[in-house]
Order: sequence, then structure tokens, then C-alpha cells
Amino acid sequence: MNDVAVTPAAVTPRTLVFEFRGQAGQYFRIWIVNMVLSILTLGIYSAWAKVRTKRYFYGSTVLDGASFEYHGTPWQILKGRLIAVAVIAAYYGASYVNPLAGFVFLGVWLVVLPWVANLSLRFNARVSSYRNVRFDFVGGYWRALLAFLVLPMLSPLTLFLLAPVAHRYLARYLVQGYRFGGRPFSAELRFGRFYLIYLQVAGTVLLGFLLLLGVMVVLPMPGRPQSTGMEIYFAFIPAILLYTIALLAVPFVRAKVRNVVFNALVLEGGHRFASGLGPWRMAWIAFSNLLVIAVTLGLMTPWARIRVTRYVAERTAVYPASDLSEFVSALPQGQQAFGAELADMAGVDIGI
Amino acid sequence: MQRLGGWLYPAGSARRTTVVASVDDSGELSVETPDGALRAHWAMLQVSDRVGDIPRRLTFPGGEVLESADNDAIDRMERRWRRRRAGALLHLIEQRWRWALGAVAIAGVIGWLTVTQGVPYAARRIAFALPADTLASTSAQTLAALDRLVFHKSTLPEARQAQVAALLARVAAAAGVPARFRLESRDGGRIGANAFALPDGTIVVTDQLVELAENDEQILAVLAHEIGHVDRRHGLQRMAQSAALALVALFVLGDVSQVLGVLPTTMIESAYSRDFEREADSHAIDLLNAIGVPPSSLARFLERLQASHGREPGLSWLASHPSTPERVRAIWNRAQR
Repeated sequence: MNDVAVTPAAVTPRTLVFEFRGQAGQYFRIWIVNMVLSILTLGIYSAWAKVRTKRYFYGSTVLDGASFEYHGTPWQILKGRLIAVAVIAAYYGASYVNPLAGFVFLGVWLVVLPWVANLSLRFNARVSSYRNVRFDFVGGYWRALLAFLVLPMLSPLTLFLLAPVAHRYLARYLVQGYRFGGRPFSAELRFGRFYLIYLQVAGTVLLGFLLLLGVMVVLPMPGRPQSTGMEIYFAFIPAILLYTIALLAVPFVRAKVRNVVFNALVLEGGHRFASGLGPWRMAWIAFSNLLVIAVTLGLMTPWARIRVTRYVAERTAVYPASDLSEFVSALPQGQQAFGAELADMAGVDIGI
Repeated sequence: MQRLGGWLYPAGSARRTTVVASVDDSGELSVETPDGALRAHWAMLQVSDRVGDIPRRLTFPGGEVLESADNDAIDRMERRWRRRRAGALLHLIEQRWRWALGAVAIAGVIGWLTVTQGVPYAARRIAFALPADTLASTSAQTLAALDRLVFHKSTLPEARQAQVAALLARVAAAAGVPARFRLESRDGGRIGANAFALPDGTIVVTDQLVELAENDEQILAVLAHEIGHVDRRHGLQRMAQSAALALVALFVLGDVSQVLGVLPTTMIESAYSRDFEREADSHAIDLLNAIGVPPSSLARFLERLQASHGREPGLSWLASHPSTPERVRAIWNRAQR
């Protein structure tokens, strides 16, 4: 390439594609050592394991030659985990002694959940950096309550007509909360796009389901009269439907939503993003990963994680408006991992 | 003199400069930056641990950061100018396939011991630590569900039912707990000849089973087997095993366990179930010997039972019971001892 023509002062429009340099073999060794040391230390090492894993994935994600960094420390994670374990143990203890106490605990949990989710998002953002500049998350209790609890709970009541609204609200909440070097992100997310995604998925699932049903009805049972064989098959229908949705529809929707969000995402200063995940490809990756992991009794888990991370990274890009040199961040001090660990253990799934 | 390429960032800033730092023989690192020369002894730097080949982060006392992927040079400097730390040792282990394969073997052994020894042992301890009536309400619910779905009202004459109940009392007395067991007669419907033990001591015997038996000794043998299940608290153990296995599966497979982990856990639970059957069989033989009934009655009846149910179902590793020939053989072996 001849770059004589490029004047240093002029900002040329660039496309920076994310790159993932993690390797399955290398990560496998980190993963299996983590696993065995965690078992042998009765779980204490898991805090170190988590940090090493996070650092490996962040450090292997490269943009414009620079990698991301994870700054969480094992002691932070361990402390957070111990507190989280104490809280969960208190819940089980309380509900064992008195089921009513369990219910009260559950009520309190729902009240504090938005707060815990915000703490988790903030911790994870603040221990992440790119090019020496930290991320951050600024949330609000009431908006988190709406995003994580109220809207997701309302959507089944409306026969999921509200699901796209809930999903859009969550995406908007996350986008508007994140900061890079103190600067906010924003995204103009249209309702229509979200409804379209859900409509597509509902249509596809319905079509697939009808097809499956057709196959079942047509398929004759060997050696038995049809009437007795059918009931066995029909008993599996809810399970099959559920698995299809869980295995294929969820990654499908997530891929589409991620595309919509990233393609609308702007970091203050005019830095734009792009995401081109193939929804079918994502569904296939998720499905085949599960299959491979199950068949190898978990041994291929590292390979599966590397595979999906690489695909997502390679389909994500940034259009920077400048060379990003103007970004600065103050080093945040005294981060508490408690919220993040509690959210992780309680299975709170945060993300779009 | 050692050279180290990388990017230098001022404290907290994304402004980066490509630099080549040099470390002299006294461990002093110096680097030219647009803001002037930067110097620090290696021991004053904060160096991030090595994980795979990801870039390292060298933080200066003033907050400046040198990001460098020159891992091997950094490791050399670390060894020379700083006492060895656990982080370096971890990387050493993670780097070698030999260690990784050793870890796989250790994980395999731990997994194997957990499934074959740990889970059954823990389940046994839990089952016997709980009060015996823990599952009393569950038992009633199970029977009600079976009544609704499978069973019909017994068509066996009252007198015959009373005789079977008397047989149960006879074995129960030999087992040392006459009051705990209670007989329920049912028409087995489509499952035909069979007997069930519920954790609270209720033993359900189907009419078809009573009719299939050639003599009362065979019924005694079946009752002794079912008493074995109750006595060894197999129902409680099974629940504890399921819970423990679910935990193990969650640990090993993560989210996968919800979907495709069903098959491995089913296989393992079937294996546990077969162990329970073997235990109940040997328990039955002891009881039968105690009341003077030849254990061959159990073997003989199992063969009749199999003949009435037709061929053995396939997939032996998914079967809840060992195969009839195996059970018959085991009974003969034990009876001869």
C-alpha cells in the first residue's frame, strides 16, 4: 500500500473490524486447569479461574491492533462470591425453616434485583478497558426495574405482544447506560424493527412446528395400529416445541436484535458501529455447539466458546470518527464485585 | 540490553505511541515518548500475569502504560528482576499439553468417583438422615396419580386380598417392622402384572401379579423384594440422587444440561436404579430364608413375569431393572452361598 497520499491530519473514513485471536487448544488448557484447580480447592480457585478466563477472552479480542483488557482481580471476585453465597444460603436457610420466610425473601429479592443488576453492569463495565480507557455503566433504579422485571413480566400476560417493546426498552436502557471514557452511547431504536424480528421468528417457529406435526401424522408407526402409536408422539410435542424455541429461536432473535442495536449505535463524537450476524448461522452455531458439548461430556466447551466468540467478533466493526486519541478516563477505585457475582449466581441473564 | 516493542499510553489516555523500550543490565527500563523520556526500574513496574499469548500491560509508577505482546521477553525480565510469582507457574502449567491431559485424567477420575461413589453415598446418607415419614404425602399423591392414570379398582375377591395382606404381614414380621407395611390391591390395567413399593410402606400389588403367581411362595418373594425397596429407602435415595446429579450436570455441562444433558443423567439414574433392584433382590433372599421359603421362588417368578411381558426391552443401559437372566443368576448364586 502506498500511504504517501494520506495526510496525517485528515481523518480518513476507516472500517475497523474486530478480530478474535483466541485458540481452542490454548483455551482448552486454561479451561481444564481452571476446572481441576477449582475442584481441588473446593471452589476457591474459581475466582482466579474466572479472572484468567475473562482476561484470555478480553485480551484475545483485538480492534485496530489493540486488545481489550479485563481488570477485575481474583480477590474482588472471591469476596463478591462469598457474599453472594451467603445471601443465597440465607435464602435456602430461611425457606427451609419457614416457607413464608422464603416468600418474604423472594419479595425482597425482586425489590433489590434492579439494584443488583445495575451493580453487576457497573462492575463489569468498570473493569473493562480498551486502549487504556475504561468503560462504565450509569443506570437508574426505576428504569432498571422496568427493563429487567416489569416489562419482561408483562409480556407473557399480553401473549408476548409486548415482547418486542420489552426487548427494545432493555436494549435502550443498556445502550444509554454504557460509557467509554466517560462518553455516552446512544442508539435510535425503532419499534418497527423489533416487531418485525419477533414476527419473523414467530412465523418461522410456527411453520417449522406445523411441518413437524405433518411429519408425525404422516409417519406410520412400525408394527402397530396408528391410533395407539400417536399418543406417545404427541406427548413429546410440548417438549419439542420448547427445545426448538430455546435452541434456535433465542439465538436467532439475539443475533437480529444485536444487529439492529449495533447498526444504530453511536458513541459520542460520531463513532459508529456495525454488526452483521447471520441469524441462521448463529442458531446453527448455538445448536451444534450444544450437541458437541453434550456428546463430549463437556470437553469441547472451550472449542464451542471460542467458536461463537470468534464469529461474533469477526462480524462486528467500528467506524471511528477520529483516531480515538481524545478518549481519557479516570481510574476507578474500590470496585465491589458483589452485585456481579450475585447476579451471576442467581442466574440473572443480563444482555440484549 | 533487552528491547521491548509495544504501545505507550499516557496515564488514563487512549493516545498511543509506538515505542521500543530498552531494559539495561541493571533492570532499568527506559523509553522515549512524545512527552519526554520515561524511566523506571523493572521491579517498580506493575506487570499483568501471562495468560496464553494475550498482550501484557506494564504500568509505570506514574500511571503510564506500556502494552506489549512480547510475552517471552517480558517473562525473561520478570524472572530476572522479580521473584517468581504464582501467575507464572499457572501459565507454565497451562502451556503444556502434558499437564492439560493430566488434568483431563484427574477430572475424569473425580467425575467417575463422584458418579459411582459420591452421589450414591451422599444419597444414602441423606435418605437415612431424613425422618422415615418424609415422603408420606408424596406417596399418597403418587398412588392417587397412578390410580387416575393406570390402575383400576381391584377385581380380586376380598378373601384373596386378605390372604395376600396376611402374606405381607408374614414377611414384614420377618423384616422386623410388621406395622409399617400396608397392602393395596389394584387392577394393573395396561401395565399388567407388577408390584410397587411407595416410600411410606404402601405396597401395591396388581391383580394380574397375584393371578400370575403359581403359589403363595412366589407372592411372598415379590413382597420381600418390595419390602427391600422400602427398607433400604430407595425412593428417598432416588430423589436425593436426582438432585445431586442435576447439580453435577450443571457444573459439568453448564446450560447444556437442561437440554441434552437429559440422556447422560437418565443413563446414570438407570444404572442407580438397577443397583437398587439388585439390592432389593438380595434383601428379599435374606427375608425368604428367614421365613423358610426357598429363594428359588423369586427366580422362578421373575421368569414367569418376563414370559408374561414378552421379550426383554432393548437398550440395557437405559433399563430400570437388570435383565431377568442376570437377576435369576444372581439369586441362584446368593442362594447357594
